[in-house]
Amino acid sequence: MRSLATVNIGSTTHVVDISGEDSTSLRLLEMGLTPGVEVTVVGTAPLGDPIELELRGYRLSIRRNEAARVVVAT
Amino acid sequence: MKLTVALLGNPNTGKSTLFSAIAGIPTRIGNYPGVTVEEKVGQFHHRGKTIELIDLPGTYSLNAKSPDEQVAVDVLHGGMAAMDRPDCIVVVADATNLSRNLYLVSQALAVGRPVLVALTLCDVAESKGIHINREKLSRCLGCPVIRLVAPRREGIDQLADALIQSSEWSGQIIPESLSSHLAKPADSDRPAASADAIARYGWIDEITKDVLSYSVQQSQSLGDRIDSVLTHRVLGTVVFALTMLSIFSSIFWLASPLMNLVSRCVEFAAGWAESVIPDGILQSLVVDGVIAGVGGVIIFLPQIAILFLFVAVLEGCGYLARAAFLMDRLLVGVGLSGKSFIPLLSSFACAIPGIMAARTIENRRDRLLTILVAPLMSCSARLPVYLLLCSAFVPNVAVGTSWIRLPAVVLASMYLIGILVAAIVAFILSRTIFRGPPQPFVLELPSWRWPQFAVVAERVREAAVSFLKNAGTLILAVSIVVWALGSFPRPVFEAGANPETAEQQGEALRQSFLGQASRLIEPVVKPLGWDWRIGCAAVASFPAREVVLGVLGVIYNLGDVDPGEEEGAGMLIRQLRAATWDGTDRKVFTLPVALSIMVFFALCAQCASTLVIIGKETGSWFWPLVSFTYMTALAWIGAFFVFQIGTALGW
Repeated sequence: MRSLATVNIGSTTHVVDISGEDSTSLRLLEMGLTPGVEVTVVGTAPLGDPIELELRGYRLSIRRNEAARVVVAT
Repeated sequence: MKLTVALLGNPNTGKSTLFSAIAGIPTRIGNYPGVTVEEKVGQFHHRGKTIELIDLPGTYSLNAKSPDEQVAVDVLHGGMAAMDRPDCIVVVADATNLSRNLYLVSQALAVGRPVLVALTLCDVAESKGIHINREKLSRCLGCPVIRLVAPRREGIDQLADALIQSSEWSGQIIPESLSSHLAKPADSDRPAASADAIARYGWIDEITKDVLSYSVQQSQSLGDRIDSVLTHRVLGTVVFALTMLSIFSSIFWLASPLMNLVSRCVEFAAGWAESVIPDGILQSLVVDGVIAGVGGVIIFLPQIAILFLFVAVLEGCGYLARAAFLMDRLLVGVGLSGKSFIPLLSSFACAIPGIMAARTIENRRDRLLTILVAPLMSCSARLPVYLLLCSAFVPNVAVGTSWIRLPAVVLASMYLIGILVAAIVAFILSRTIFRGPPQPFVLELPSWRWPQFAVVAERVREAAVSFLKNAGTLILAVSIVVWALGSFPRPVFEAGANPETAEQQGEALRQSFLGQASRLIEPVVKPLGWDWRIGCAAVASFPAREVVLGVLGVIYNLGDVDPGEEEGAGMLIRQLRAATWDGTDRKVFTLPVALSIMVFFALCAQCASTLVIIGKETGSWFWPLVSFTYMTALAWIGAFFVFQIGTALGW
């Protein structure tokens, strides 16, 4: 299983699943990171964390911690 | 009959712009009972009807996970005391980002009140090549969809018309397509809430396939190009540093002429009161208590207005979120978050606007932690204290190279001590009292756009009014109490009822409750190398740190000293250098004593305004008490070590 935290900058992939059952996982789903959605890793902050994503026509930033919950297509 | 309408929407959708465009200046601003979520209500008239507009906090979902979202849910379901259940819900949806905004719409449809969808930023969406078929969308959702360009007031009348018609609806029906998506058997191993969210997006994807069309876009949009610079690892950091530097220096320098103007006015008022009210206790109350107290408060107004001007502009154009993004990693290390950066930076000018700026942090734990450490940043009120003591008692010798002088190094260390202690305190608190599950950082980076003048102006006005109203009254009370403690009991002088000369003023202070109390606490301040007079000045500076210079002046029989006056300060320096311990010729002020006073003032919470604002912003008097206690303890410990080590090393 590959997580969004390991995706290279500039690459586009698809969300497969969000692991975890707490409110953080629910928040990620609610922000539109649902199974099947296309997501691009646009960049990272100067110290490498958080990362900047593009999905559903908008920009979202999450920490690598949260990105590790997002399972993406290999 | 009044129609109550709730304005619901994701953050950054132009909800505030819409609110100002429809209702103008809010008729009521306050906090919802028990929580620090801002309540904003406005009113307007349309076709003979009065419509009350409740601006709900921006939220992505009605699955309440934060106090903000809980407030939105409570208001919508009529569970908020002293507030009518809304007759109608307007969901503000960003046309450039329809699918994520429809998630909240899908939840609003289930509340059981008529729903209207206000599509904002349509002009931006069209310029990006996004086309929305509104008729189709309206049919899919089963509710009216109105196109809005709020800054140009396009669609405002249609929205108001639709609101009035909505009262004739029997009730909102959840579209069949949505209920069938929600009724699908969920994956067995997924929690119900997650399955619900996935089902809703399934429905949304189906709708948007039909409703959205894109015209071919030739190149990267301007917003994307700006964004790639602003969040670039190197360029973004440079732009960020320059932006912050200019904001920081303007709260410092731009505000200072305005602050001088305010203090001029206060002096004028004091002079006028002195000439009108006969000498005596009443004059002293009005001039030294009321005018000095109120003047001490309104002097912060220019800084608050300027800071909020910048915050509102940065927020309006979407940069605030990017600043949080850029600084997050650095602040996470000490248990804060990227959103703490602006409040902490502002606190170097003054903790009051800084603490108020912490409103932009929606996470309660992060916000409290930021508020607790913000007063440790060395504010501009500490500067005169540092400057006076540095120039009087720190030898002006070179450190290493000839252009780095010791007083400058000491001054810089005072700022560093504040930052260092704040980092340590935040680190410890976040791992003890504030320990909890890690707070997620899921932050939208809104697309770049021009800030709206009306929204910016409203933000500044609101900050200024709430500061004056809430802090003014309490600070006034505190100032009067301190004045009374410093003025009673009054010694009788032969010349008249009022102490006239500097000696008499000093004598009066010595005999007052404040003076008596200071002699009682001398054992407490002695380990810091202080005599009772420094202790008295430190206690009397509770309303504001810079007061300490004036009190030192009075207590060493100088009369009032304006820290800004070169000559007065020079006099004070000479007086302080000459001061000796009562009954001996041992000098009071040595280098370790000066350093211990500076460290004490770097870390202490001697600022009534800050404590009042902490109370107001946290909605409880517990937190100012915590701030005062922990900062005073740290200040004492810091001063103790500096004095003892300094003395042992023979400085």
